[in-house]
Amino acid sequence: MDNYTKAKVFKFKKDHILYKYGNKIKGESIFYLKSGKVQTKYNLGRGKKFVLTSDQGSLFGIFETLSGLDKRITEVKFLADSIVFLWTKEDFLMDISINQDLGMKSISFLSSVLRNINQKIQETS
Amino acid sequence: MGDYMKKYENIMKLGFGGLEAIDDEIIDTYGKSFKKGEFIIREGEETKDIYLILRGTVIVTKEINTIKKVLAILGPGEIVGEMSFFESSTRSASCIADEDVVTIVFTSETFSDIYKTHPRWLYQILESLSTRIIKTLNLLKIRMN
Repeated sequence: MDNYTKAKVFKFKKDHILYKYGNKIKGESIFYLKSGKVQTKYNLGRGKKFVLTSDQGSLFGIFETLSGLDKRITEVKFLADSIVFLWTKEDFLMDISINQDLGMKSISFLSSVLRNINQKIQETS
Repeated sequence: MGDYMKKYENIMKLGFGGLEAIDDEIIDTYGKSFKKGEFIIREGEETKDIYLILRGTVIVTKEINTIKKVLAILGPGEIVGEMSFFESSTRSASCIADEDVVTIVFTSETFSDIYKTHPRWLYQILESLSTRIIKTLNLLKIRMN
């Protein structure tokens, strides 16, 4: 069972847009998908999008928050009714400091995102 | 500046929270150096260690259609090798020391110990990965346009 002492839990309906490109990053800005499905899109310009569809266990909002950006560079929309854990950056760091599993999940998730982007770059080479 | 300060000068720059957050034993126990031109990781091998770069620069290359392409140049505060560590796959790229490089090595055995005693190091890894994702997305945008 997930035990994140600092996280809030929210339910979101299908088609709800959590955030859009350019939205200010503040408050609860890191999200973990407990159940449901979300779509994360990155704007490549000229109408092109890079789509990262995420299932249960995915984290989103994390790399924008932890890299220190002040505005979103991705857009997140729920593709199904979903349950999500939410953290502020400070609370997330406190939870990963005491929850090794969450820390490992975070590194594993970010690694897979990086691998997907690198793969896309190779396909365009 | 004394030897002690010199030794940790780069680490302090990484934002680990200053000397009070650094355990001398960790550097002595888990530190590993590489000479210029030496392979830190070879593409295709089945090793799993993670390297946190403390000093020097590392070139990340990948062989595509028999041609070696430079994917990234990484420096202090950045990590290499994390993808194989967590995804049970062979090394997807090679990492070569571009100058004399000093790293800290996380193995599957030591990672848990370091995590428990110094969780700040995990944040360093997460921040490094996040920054690399942003840079790589920017590169993708350039390539696609």
